Amino acid sequence: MNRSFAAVSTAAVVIGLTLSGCTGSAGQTAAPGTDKTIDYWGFSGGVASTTAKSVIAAFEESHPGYTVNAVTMDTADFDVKLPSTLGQDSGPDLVYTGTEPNHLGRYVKVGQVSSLADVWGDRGWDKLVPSSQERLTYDDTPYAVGNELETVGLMYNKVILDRLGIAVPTSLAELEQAMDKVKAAGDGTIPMVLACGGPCYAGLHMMHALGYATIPTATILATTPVGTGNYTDPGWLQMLEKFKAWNDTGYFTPDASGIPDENHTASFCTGTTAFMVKGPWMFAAMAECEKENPDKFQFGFVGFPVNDGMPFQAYVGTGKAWFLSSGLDSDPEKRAAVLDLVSAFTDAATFTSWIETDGLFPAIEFDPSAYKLSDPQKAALTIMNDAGANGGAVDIGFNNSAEETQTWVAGLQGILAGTSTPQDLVGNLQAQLEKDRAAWDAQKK
Amino acid sequence: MTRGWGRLTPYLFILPAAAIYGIFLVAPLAQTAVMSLWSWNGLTPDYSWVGLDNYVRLLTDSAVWSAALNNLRWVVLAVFPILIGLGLAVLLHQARPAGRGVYRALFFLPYVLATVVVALAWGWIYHPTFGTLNSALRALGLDQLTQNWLGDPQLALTALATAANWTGFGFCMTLFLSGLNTIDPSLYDAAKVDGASTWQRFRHITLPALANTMNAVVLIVFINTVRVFDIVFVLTAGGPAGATEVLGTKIYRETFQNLDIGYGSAIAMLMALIILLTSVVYLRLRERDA
Repeated sequence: MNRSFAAVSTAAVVIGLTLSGCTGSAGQTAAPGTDKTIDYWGFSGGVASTTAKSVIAAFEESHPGYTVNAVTMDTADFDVKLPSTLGQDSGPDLVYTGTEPNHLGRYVKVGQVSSLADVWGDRGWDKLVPSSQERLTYDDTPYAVGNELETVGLMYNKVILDRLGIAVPTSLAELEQAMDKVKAAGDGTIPMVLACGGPCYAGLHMMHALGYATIPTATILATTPVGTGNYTDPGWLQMLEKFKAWNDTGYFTPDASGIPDENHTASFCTGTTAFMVKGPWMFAAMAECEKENPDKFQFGFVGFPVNDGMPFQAYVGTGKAWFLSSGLDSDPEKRAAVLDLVSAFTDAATFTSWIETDGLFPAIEFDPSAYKLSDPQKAALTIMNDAGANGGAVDIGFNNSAEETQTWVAGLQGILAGTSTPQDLVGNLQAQLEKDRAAWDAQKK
Repeated sequence: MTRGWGRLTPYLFILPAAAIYGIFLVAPLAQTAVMSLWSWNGLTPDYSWVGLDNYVRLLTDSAVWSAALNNLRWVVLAVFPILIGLGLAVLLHQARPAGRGVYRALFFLPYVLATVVVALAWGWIYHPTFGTLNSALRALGLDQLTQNWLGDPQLALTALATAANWTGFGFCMTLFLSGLNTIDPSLYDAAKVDGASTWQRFRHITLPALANTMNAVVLIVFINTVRVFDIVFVLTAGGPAGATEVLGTKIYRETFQNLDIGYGSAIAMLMALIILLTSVVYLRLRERDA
């Protein structure tokens, strides 16, 4: 009996210790300079693109002993995994994600991101376009290095426009006339593709475009927890009424509230829809569609037209950025290596690959004439130039709280499904804004 | 001394299982209960004690009760896979058709598919423009019956529950089949001799004999229904306009998107309480009836 007791108790102790992580190896921090694996989590553009892959391969070659463990993640992945791991040993050393305060901002606020102030000028990141530097700086301290200069514009299918004798619209009124013509053709072609199922990203983009087309940038920028504007101010309700009117008129894809986001592009690509609202991150996919379907689809891109009498304005900003975990601050050697990797990503030598192969714009100024740009890329650069001071980096519904984005999504889906009104949505947005302002004030105190 | 160790031996044998249960179930549950009493954003080490505030907020949060009501609707709809599973099990058991094993495997197959795969497949079935369901209705000349299955707030929850139920009926059938195999065939023979009809044999022999299996099936289906998350998250993310928000997606939203860990934990505790209380009450009632 004693032998069996000994066997059982030994087994129990071993299992217990193993499960509780007390065997001596788990959970310990590596001594500075000994950990040579760089855990890199990012959106696909910064991880799986041709440029990113080649930069990582070159980095590993030039930094013997270092390995980059690159993992592609989407927003939902980041939401779940980043808050509890960034700044910890279990989390990433380097992250490539959205620049919105909802993403980068919340991690900076709580000290999970390493300040880049000590290397900013030396690494040449003071040459990032000013709007990017502004976006990635908190309390005068830079925390992230921008990439993927973006805008949202009007994509169109030249084949459909030519067939119906429609000119590329230059004002919102002309766009509405063009969509009327598409509808009137009666051949089943949809004027404007829209998918607002699930997270409704396409609906949010549509709403961004309509917002910038009808509401002055200053009003949009003021409608934040730190601003003085309100959703009850003139402009917001009118914009949402237009969104509803477009749906009721039949401009949007029928049953848009039930179409998943991933089906959004397919309907445009297959030549069944005349217009779509998206940005340069879709250019590579659109080029593929042209190759697949040349008789039905030829791609064009211009700025989303604005209301008559308004200056041209558009969402223009830095889409993604690299930032380092504050956990690296205790390991200067590894931090330097990670900074080298970011420097390699932003080196001018990579611009040709970023621009010509992956169709993405770096956020450091470059000479467009030095690169072979596609027509849509040229159009995107024109939008960015034309928007100038009227280019807002605040993209409605992404910039405020996560709860506000949820309010936008629920409201847009309700309008599309006919179960709620623009007035309902304005009321809900204003209520959420007031909650966010109260939270912001409480945080300051 | 030996006698003393002998008394301990059985407990030591169950210790590994108890340790796993404790570490991976009891401890996280206790931690969730503790977190529900604090306000924490999940990012900073700063916690603040709020006592029962999260529960008070929960009581007055219409979104939580709307989500709970959606779970309740889903529970009602979950009766169908149980009935279908029971019907199929009885049919396969009594009629003993050729290729019975193949039918069993085919009916059980949806249950072994990953929920994400099931969700994506049903996403295409329900697609308003290209979906199989609307295409079939159009082909049959029933255009007026085509619907925006996942985009209409009135229909979306039923559409989701149908997709989830599709995976569940085979599981129910398998459990009922194993229960049917334990019934002594002589009972049916005796009943036949006494002139009992098919319905009477089912009502007075099959159903009572399946009581324990039924208890297990109902409880498993109920628990799976209340904690449903993945199929909703993939197909509608709680939309349109919150029409398919259930407690599982609400917990995810509060905890990981809104970074309100305390409140998310309070909702999780509510969900655990609903499952626990309902299960206990159900089992007690069944015991009393037995």
